[in-house]
Amino acid sequence: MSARIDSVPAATGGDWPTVVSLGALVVAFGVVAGPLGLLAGLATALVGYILGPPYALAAGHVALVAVVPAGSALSAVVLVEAAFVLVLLVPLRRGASPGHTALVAVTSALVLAGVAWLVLGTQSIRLAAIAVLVLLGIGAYGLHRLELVRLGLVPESDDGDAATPLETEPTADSSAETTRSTTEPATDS
Amino acid sequence: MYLTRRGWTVGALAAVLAVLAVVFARPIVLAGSAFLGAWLLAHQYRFTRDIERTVDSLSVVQSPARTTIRTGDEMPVTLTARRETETALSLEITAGLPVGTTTTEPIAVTLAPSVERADRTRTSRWPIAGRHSFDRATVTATDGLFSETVTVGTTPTVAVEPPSPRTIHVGEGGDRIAASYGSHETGQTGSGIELAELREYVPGDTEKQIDWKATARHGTPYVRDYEAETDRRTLLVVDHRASLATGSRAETQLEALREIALVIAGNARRLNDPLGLVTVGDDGITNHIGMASSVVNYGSVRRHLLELEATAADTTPVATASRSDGPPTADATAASSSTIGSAETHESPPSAETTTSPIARNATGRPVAPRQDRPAPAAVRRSLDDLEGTDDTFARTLRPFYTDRQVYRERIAETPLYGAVQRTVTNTKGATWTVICTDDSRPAELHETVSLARRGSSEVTVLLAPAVLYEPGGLADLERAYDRYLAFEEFRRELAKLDGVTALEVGPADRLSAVLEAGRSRSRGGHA
Repeated sequence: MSARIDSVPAATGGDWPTVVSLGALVVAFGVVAGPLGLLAGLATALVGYILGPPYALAAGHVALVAVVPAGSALSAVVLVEAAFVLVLLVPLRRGASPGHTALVAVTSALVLAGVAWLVLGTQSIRLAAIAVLVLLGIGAYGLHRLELVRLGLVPESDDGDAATPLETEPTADSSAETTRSTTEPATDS
Repeated sequence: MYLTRRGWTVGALAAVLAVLAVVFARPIVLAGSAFLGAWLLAHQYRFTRDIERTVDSLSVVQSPARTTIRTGDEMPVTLTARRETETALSLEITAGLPVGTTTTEPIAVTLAPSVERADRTRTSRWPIAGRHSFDRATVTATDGLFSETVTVGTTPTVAVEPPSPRTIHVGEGGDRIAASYGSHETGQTGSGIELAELREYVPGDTEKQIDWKATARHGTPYVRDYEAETDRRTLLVVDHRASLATGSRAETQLEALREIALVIAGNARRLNDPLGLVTVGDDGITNHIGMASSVVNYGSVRRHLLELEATAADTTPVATASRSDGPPTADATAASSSTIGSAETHESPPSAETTTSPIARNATGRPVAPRQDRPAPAAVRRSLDDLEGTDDTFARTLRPFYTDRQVYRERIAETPLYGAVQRTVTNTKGATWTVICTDDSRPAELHETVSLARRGSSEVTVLLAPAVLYEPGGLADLERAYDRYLAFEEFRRELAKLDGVTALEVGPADRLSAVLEAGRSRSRGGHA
């Protein structure tokens, strides 16, 4: 009870769905790149198991550069990326509405990757990278604004003054709770 | 919404992958950046939904133990948090204490994802007077990647009363005096404006007093008498010895007596009565402002009263003063070795004799011999001198008694209050209203002092602050407090019986009411 929430860890791998998704990643790496790919897949799975899915996604794509030569078949790349999608989605099954969250994840991945692919068709990879990062920033800011609106933290006027707290006036129920907590406090002072 | 350190790390990973894609010129690495971005956005979306549900279902209540408190007092404040929806968020909730309210540690609770309810109570101190409203409790929610802070909950209000004594009661036996201080009747006639009476002429009346119109109407000489307009010389004798410091902060006996003394001084100023002040500490007189016009004296009297503080305890003269009449007894010896007026002294329980014995008992429960028949010190000295010349059985029997009386008088004369009155009141010429402000911890000394003041002035008012009404925790046992108050009241009445003496109690009205209510409850119980 006394621990600060700064130390609250985000969910990392460890349960069997995560292990299965990481195993699928290893298999995909092995199928695409042989024994060397299997080794790279194992290293990626280990990183993902210890540090969490984001690190598996990052380490796995860097490893792909080493084990998959440029100009490889599209089917091979799609197979590996499908395994990565599994790694991406498995942690999102927790929560109140995993379907919506998974939909946001898949949509975001498709949009970001699609924009990168579209830009790459006509522009340099540098512009594609910038486009992905800018799009990511726009998406994050949009969700941030959505959260402010849903929580009522947006000020009424547009002058950028301090936000208005969410809660309304105390209700009769809260008054009743005041009485109960006063009569039975758990004192530790 | 803010990214935590771990959230920033994931965002940086996405950026690094984008850079690596450019460096290696391999678009597949850019796909990794897109996946990381999607992972981040999905978690941000989930956090947004979770915090909305959490805030909707969160109940935070801040409960001060009381809604009214005295300045500087402490009271517990309880923070209770409960959520009805299970989410992946951890919540840290901090109470919104008003500005100026202090606690040893912040009042905060943490709700882990699996915890539904938590509460915490801490003692808070309220040093600033006024009405203080709590701020809403601050809730910081995080899932490890993102965090957000919102304010929720009730905002109770606490009224902090200023540190002056509550209502000060001045009266007799629990009844407030009807008229306190103001214009006063001298009971004399003379030159003035207000008509006193119209009466028949008697030999000795001057011709100027004859009311010729009334004389014509009645056919016999009539004279007009007028109220004599005189100044009442007011001398304040304020005791500020260590025992007067009894009471909680800003509610001591000295504080209450100071308030009353200031009122009396103010009235003297309003009526242009001459005013004087004597303050008495443990070592004797600490200040003496001679009798003079209140126009001249009021400022310095007021300033000295406001600056008055209880002096450091010096047990020697006090212990001597508190001796009861007669040779030292075991009880008296024990009393003399302790500080009179201390809590220990007052803790001694009064015996049944307190209310049944004709012998009065002082506030400490020790018997005090009847004072009405006590001879004056001069009479004692004279009787002793008379006995010196004879050597019969009668003289031999009485000599030890008068010798002991003489020693007692000498001891009383050494006490600060008695000595101060002896030096000031008895040397004051003309009729004076002497107001003695003190407590009940030294009944013997006070009795002699009042008798002495009565001889030196026309009228004496004693303002007594009973210790039982001031001691912190003194009302913990109301039955015992009532017994002690009875002992005090008996002593007060004894003083009031003296000719020309008014003895009034000065104490906090609420505490006095509590004590008197305990007495009434006892009476009802006795009758039932």
